[in-house]
Order: sequence, then structure tokens, then C-alpha cells
Amino acid sequence: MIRREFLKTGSAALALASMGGAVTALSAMQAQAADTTGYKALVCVFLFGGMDNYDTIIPYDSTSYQRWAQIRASLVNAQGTTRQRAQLRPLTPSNQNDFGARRFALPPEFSGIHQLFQSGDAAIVGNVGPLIEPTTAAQFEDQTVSLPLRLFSHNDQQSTWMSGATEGAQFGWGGLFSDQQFSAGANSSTTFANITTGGNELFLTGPQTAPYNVTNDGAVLPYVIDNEDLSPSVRDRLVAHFRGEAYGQPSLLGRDLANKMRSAYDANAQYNQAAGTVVLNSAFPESGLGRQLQIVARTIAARHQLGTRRQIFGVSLGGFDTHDNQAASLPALQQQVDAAVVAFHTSMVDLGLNNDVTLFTASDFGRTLALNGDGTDHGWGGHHFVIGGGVNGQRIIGDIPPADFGHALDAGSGRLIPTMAVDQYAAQLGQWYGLNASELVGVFPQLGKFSPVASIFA
Amino acid sequence: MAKENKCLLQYLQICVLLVLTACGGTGANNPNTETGTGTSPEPVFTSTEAARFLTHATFGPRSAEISALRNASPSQWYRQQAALTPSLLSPVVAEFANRAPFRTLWRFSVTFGFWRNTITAQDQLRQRMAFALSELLVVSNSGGEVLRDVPDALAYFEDLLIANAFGNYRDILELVTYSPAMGYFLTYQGNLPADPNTGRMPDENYARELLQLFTIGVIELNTDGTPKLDANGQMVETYSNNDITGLAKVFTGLVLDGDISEDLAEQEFIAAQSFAYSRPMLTIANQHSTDEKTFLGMTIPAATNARQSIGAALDHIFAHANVGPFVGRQIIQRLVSSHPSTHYVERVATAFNQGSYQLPDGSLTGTGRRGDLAATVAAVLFDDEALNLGNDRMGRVREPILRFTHWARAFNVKNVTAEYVTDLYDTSEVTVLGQHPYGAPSVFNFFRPGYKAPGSVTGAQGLTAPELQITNASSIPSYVNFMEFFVTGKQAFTDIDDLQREFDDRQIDLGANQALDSFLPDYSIELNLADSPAALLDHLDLLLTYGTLSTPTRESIIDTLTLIPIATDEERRLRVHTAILMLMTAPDYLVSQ
Repeated sequence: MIRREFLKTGSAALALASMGGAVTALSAMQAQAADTTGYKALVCVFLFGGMDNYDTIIPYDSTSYQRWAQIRASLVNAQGTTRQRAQLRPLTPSNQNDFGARRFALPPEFSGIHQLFQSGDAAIVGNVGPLIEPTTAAQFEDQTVSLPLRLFSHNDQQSTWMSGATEGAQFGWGGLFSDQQFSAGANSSTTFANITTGGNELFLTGPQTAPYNVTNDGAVLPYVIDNEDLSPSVRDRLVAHFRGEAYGQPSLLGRDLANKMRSAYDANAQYNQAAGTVVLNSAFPESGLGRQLQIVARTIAARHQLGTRRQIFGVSLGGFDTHDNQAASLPALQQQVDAAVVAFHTSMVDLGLNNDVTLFTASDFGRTLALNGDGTDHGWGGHHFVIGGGVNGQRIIGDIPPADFGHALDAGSGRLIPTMAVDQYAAQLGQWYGLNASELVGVFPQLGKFSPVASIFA
Repeated sequence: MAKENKCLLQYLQICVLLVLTACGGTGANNPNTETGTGTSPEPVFTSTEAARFLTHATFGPRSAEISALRNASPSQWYRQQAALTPSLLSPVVAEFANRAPFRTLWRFSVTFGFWRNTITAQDQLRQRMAFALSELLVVSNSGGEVLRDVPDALAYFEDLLIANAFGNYRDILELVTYSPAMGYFLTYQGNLPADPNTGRMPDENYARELLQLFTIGVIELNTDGTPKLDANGQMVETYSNNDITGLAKVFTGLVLDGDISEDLAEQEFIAAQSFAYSRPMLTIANQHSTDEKTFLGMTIPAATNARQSIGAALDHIFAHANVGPFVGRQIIQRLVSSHPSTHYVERVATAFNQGSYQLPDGSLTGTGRRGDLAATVAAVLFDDEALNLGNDRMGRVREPILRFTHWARAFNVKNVTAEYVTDLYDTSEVTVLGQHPYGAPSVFNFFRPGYKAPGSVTGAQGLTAPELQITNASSIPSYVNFMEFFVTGKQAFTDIDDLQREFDDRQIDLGANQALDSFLPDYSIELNLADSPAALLDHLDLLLTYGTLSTPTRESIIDTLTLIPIATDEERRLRVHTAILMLMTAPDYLVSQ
């Protein structure tokens, strides 16, 4: 095993050397890089629409619960018994002392994640969101603080979570992480470093890394190249055609298309060869997210054939923009997340990779505490899960501000002003992934503006 | 129910009815163009110019249409198109409601209507413009539920866009605001005022997307679409969250016009839903916010009723100088070019603002009222940047839907009966077309007008390229496979027994044998040219790429065809199929220059 890893690093260095003769520079980088050994993968589960933080982590001590249930009375009633205090899944974090008498619970739909938390394989990271600098409600109201642009706007906050900038941004931190690891020699190529099942392309793109899109059933190739009515010479020409080889126009869009055709064809062919025969022992739910995480698990199982030692995956689930009918729609989504995430965790344990793979959630924003009738509106900070054997589990890291109005972190109607910047959250993931401190500052230049937070990883 | 302004409401409904029905018979909604030819000598199109123009203005040119437009008056073509009877979706929904005892076909009837109208209807420009509007004013039934179960809702909404494709954008905003489909989709149907006792706030969804996506966008714009900068060189945001919470109060008290009681028997319940979703929402006084409503520098006094508040709010928003460039640039993107020059945007925004546009023959189109879409679409289509081959930075990636309709039109497919072709029921998955009419994943459409593809040549140059958002390693080969099925006429080999079982299982009341003739191409012209790959490519280059096919791609296809013998009819067909499949999957085609 060690010998194989060594050989891979060696061939990566060779490939780079032949491109730029940069052996010396590369060796220097490898000396600084924190960690390129073994296998590590990050899996981002992006919950599109803005997951309701107030229905993710629910206040559980009697006083806080009563206040929450009062503010959200109509929603609580509409959900039947599932939001009754007795139905919730209480959390017993190892750092309960940080929260004094305040206690927290997960809704019953998250019972699988609850078990992972209690058993130490999941952490909760509280009140994460985009920030330029530490911010209070008074500063927000008086506009005496630099704020992220276009707060509360879906596409812009998705983009900001992924890249630190509003719509139109070019590179995301998942892409930059993989670029760093590629430069440090962890992967011999960027082709399968970052993989998406759709919707996270910005997050996964760096100057050197382009995300590879895979369907839930694996890679797709044009059927026609297997058409036996065609002679082998015609089929060869079709392959060249589908690789965009003939294109020679100066049009920039045309060049983009031709480039994408070529990289798609080659990667799909290589992927099917590497992962086509992988069979997982563990089962996944047939849901959208379940099938996405299943193909991620299959891809991870084929990591050696794909020639990767560092990978970042992006999967997603939409529907969290619960402006209305939240009582019916959100629990179903939570259940889907729970079942899929737990199946993925089981599968990683089965592959012996639980310590090497970390799954985390992200979302446009949290939501208002105030109801708008039968739903909630766009918020800012939200609470998230980080799951895997490497996680400092059974802990709530960061803050869970009170489910009430008018406090120092209420930007109005209970929209939470984040106390942990996305940069801080992401930097911890990056550190675990193998980036060293200076590399992380390179990716997140604002990092120094925030006070250090407790470690998500053990 | 306390209904306010009943007579105003009736007036509005009558207006809508007039718009929806009368423009068919009387042309009431046609652009106000001067009759006859104009005064200027009008340049005529060559064949390739005509094909290029029709690529922008229709769901794909046919050979006969290219011939007809060559040497004819483009201005006259435009006027004729605008005068044609609108082909609407509601009649298709009604047709399937009557035909099928079970609901499956009916639920998909809007999709069948879309394929039928866009491929076969004569009012191509109206259909194309309405489709562009449907990607700007997005309502989608991809979430299922009411918008899928009550097809009348989407049909009513899209018919508003079709009927008003040459109308006025301000009028469309009004109709859209009262439409039950939008009310449902952006969750303000039944929206209640704030309640200080419970802390309840009005739903902000429509207020936000109305500003961000439908009218002014997030930053202040110059007429040419570039951002206005403040004294520090920073972009200026158009609204704050306080504007959203203020505006959200306006969209309270809108409810369905009809009693839909869960107690009704099933058939009556369905009929009641269809009824209520096919007419504007009502306003209810005691469900409308009586607060003062402050947003974007405007204050609507306390106790203003819903209808007046909505009218005043839409007037105020519509008066914003951003609307022309914001809407104009997106219509250019849908019809012509992903990254239009600032001059092009300014010319189109000016036509929008002036409400009129001078056609190439010197005649004027448009009513002269700001927001006139007849003037706007003419400005988009007749601009030099649309008519002439541009520089390397121009062009657009053709939308997958338009590629498929183009094929169906160019090769005169027999029986545009999508109900027999299950692949066409829902093409939104990445493994199908990755796009479906009125089926976007959210109000943000399948792709964003501001999308710049990360890690691409265009992205590095800062060029917007919306369609690249759905172009990836899965969608590229899946599109090839989708097209191969239709291009090679695989419909004719449908397993009828299998399909009949599927129809029966899904309670689809159809005879599967008709599937054999659905969407079958007519390649009679192409088969006659199969002996000469060069002649075949000349023909296809005009029909599909309006003469822009590059020499290397052309030679690559010719070389491939030459490798296919031509002794049998089967081989002759293979040549034609291969030529069309290769051309329609080449970058030369996928990007219209």
C-alpha cells in the first residue's frame, strides 16, 4: 500500500515536470504541504432553498421549547405530534456545559443523524453564514459594518457559500482545495478530483480543477459508437467527432463546447472502465439524494482505479425554500436527508473509510423564526451537520442563538446574524482535507478577521 | 367572502378574456404597426440570412420558410407573424380533458400542447417570444402538486404570455401578479397580513423575486445594461431587505376565485380547481394588509386596498429605469446572443422605453407606450448584431428544447403527437434533454442570465453564457443519445405491446400503434442527396447552421459519410442519419454564431 502511494506521487511529479520542468518548486511545496498521504474525501450536501435552522436544531429545555412552540404555534400544530417535546430527539453533547441550562434536540425525522451524533460520528456546527467581519444586530441596523452582498437572495447566497462572492464568481473553495492538493502531488490528475451529481459546479471549480458531472447511474457515452451497423472506421470517426476534435472556429463559446465535449468523452470512458463494475455491499434509499450518495460511494470505492487520493464531491437536494406548506414539505425532506446520509455513513464504515471521508451540509441560508402563515422566509445564519469518523463528534460547535426576537444576533424576524463565517467552517474542512495554515489563508484571505472557533475535527 | 372592487375585477377579467380570445379573431392584441410597406428601400435577405433570421425568430427554420423569406420583405414577415392568430395551450388542455377518462394525459397536456404549437403552429414568432418570456417570468410544474394536477393553471399562465407576447410588459406584470399559477408557485396565494400577536409576517417570496428576477434586478443599471457605479466606483444595490418586507405587504389578500371545498366529490373538485385556476385571483379586503407599505422610496398610505396597492406598486416598480435594459438584455439572450454588446442592449432598451421601433422598411411598430414588446422584439431581431455574423465573443449555445424543435421542423416530422412518445412527457432530467418547457427546477430557470461558466474560455473573459450552466459531462452525451433516437426514426420500431402495457398501467387511454408514426422525420430531400455528401452537407448547412458550418467540421462529416457504402436503401438512410446526427451534435451547430 505504501509503495503504491509512493509510486503515484512519483508519477505525478513526473507528469508535472514534463509540463513545466517544475520539479524543484513542486518538491518545495510538498515539503510545506500539511498532508497528502492516504485517502481523504469531502462530501458537500447542498440543501438548496435555505434550510430552516429553527426546525433543524430545536430548543429542548422547557423554557426555550415553550417560547419556540409559542412563536411557531401554527406550524407546530400543523405537524401533528411530531414537534411535541416528547417526540423530539434530545441531544446530549459532550460540551453541554457551554450552553448552561439550554438544551437542544433534533426533530424525529433526523433520528438517524441523532444516533450518529450521540455515538460520536457527527457534530453540529451552529450559526454558520457568510460574513465579512464579526457583526451584531446594532451594527447591522446602523450599517456600520461591512456586509456580504445580496443577503437573502437565493442564487447570490448559494454562490457566496460556494465561492465567497455573488453570482458570476468563477472559483469555489472546493476547487481551490483540490488545486492545492494537486499541486502538492496528492492526485496525478484533476479529472476525477472533484465530482458533482449536478448543481455544485461553482463550489468545485478551481483554476486547475473542473468538476466532473456523473449521473446517478454512472457515466453516459453515446450509444451510437456501439452501433454494429456501422463499420469500425466510421465508429472511430464518430468518437473523434464526439470528442470535438474537428472544431477549429475562433468562437469562444464554440471552443468551450468543443473542450467540454472532449473532456466529457474522455472522462466518461475512463470512469466507466474504472467504476463500472463496482458493487457496494450496503443499501441506499431510492430517493434523489440516496441515489446521488450511492454513486458517490461507488466512485469512492473505485478511487484507486480512478487514480485519486483526494476527492471532493457535491450532491444536492432542492425544496428547502419553504415559504409555504412547510409542515408537509420540510419533514419529508429531512427524512430524505437523514436516510441518505445514514446509508452513506454505513457504506463508508463498510468500505473501511469512515475516518477518511467527511460529509457536511451547506445551504443558501437559514430562515426566519417568524412565520408568514404556513411557512418561513429567507434568513441568514443556519446550523449544519458534519459527519464522519474524523469528526469531533457529539459536540455542538459554535452558537445556537435563542429562538426569540430582539437579541443581539437577530437581524429581524429572527433571521440569525452568523457567528461563524462560512470561511471558518470551510477552513476547518480544508485543514482536515490536507491544506496547511498558509494555504488556507490563501484560499480564505479574510480568515484572520475572526476569532478562532472550536475544532470540528478530533 | 368580502370581495372588494367587484366591478373593477369584472372589468379586468373581461380584459383578460379579450386578450385571450379576441386577439384570435380580431387581432386586438396585434402590434400597432402602420399598414402597407414603409418608405425606405428594404434590404432583402439571402438564403443564409433568411435562415439565420428564422433561427432567432422561430422554433427552427424549415426549407420552405427560408425560400419564402429570401428576397421578401422581412418587415412584412414580421407584421404578418404578429397578426397571426395566437395558438394557445388552453384548447389543448380542454381537448385532453374531454378525451381521457383518466387524468394522466390531461396532467401532461400542457407539454403536449407546447410540442404541438411550437413545432406546427404558424405563429412562430409569438410562440418563440412567449417561450422567452416563460424563461424570464418563470412558473414551473416540476414540483408536481397543484401545478401538475391542474394543468389549467399553467395553461392559463402561459397563454397570458402567448397572448401578450407583442403586448406591454406592464400589463403582463399585472396579469402575472393576479394569475393563480404564479400565486401558487411563489406562495402568495392566500398570503396574510402581519399579526403582531403571533409575530406572523407576510410571505416575502413574490416581492423579492418580482424585483430580483422579473423587473429591476439587484443592481442599478445604465440603459446599456452596465452597472451604475457610485462615487467610490462601487455597484449600487437596487433594494434592501426593508424594501422587501415593505413590498411583501402589498401581495396580501389574493385568493382563488372559486370555492374549492375538500367536501366536493372528486369530479366536482377537479372541475372547481380547473375553474379557479383559469381566472385571475380575487382580492379580499380583510386579508389585505392595512399597514402603510414602504418600499423603493414609495409609501402607499395605510388602509389602501389590495387592488390599488398592487396597481401603485407595479407602476412604481415598472417606472424604474432598470426595467428596459434588464428585460431587454434577457430577451436578446433568449433569442439571439448570450453576451450582447452594450450598444445592442442600449438599442433594445431604448425601443422598450420608447415603445416603438422603426422596421427596416421604415414603418413603425409599437404603440409608443413604454414596455411595448412588439417594439422590443423587433429591436432584438432587426439589430445589426442579430442580422450579421458577429465576432468571436458573440453567439449563444442553443437551448436543448430548441435543438429538438428545430430538428422536428426542419425535417417536417409526421404526427406531432407527443402523447404517444413517453420520452417527451418529461425531458427535464439530465439523462434526457436536461430541459423541459415550463419545467425549470425553480424560479431561477434552468440557467441564469448572469451565469459565467467557471473554468471556461468565455468565463475567463467575463462573458455570460447561460446555457453552459446545463452543459456538462452527463448532458453532452445524453443529448446525443436523445437525438439519435429521433434522428434515426427509432419511433417506427416501438414495441407496441410493451407500450400498450405501459399506457394501460398508467391509465392512458391511447392505442399504442399510433406511436409508430409519431415524430417520424421526412428525409425525402436528404435521401436524394445521399449520393453526394458534399451536396447533402450544403443542404444541411443552410437548414441547420445557416451557412456557418466550418470547413473542418464539414470535411470531417463528409469523410465519415464517404466511409458508409451506399448500395442499399438502408445504407442510404444510414448516411442521412449520420450526417444529421453529426451536424446537430457539432460545436458549429450547438453554438449559433
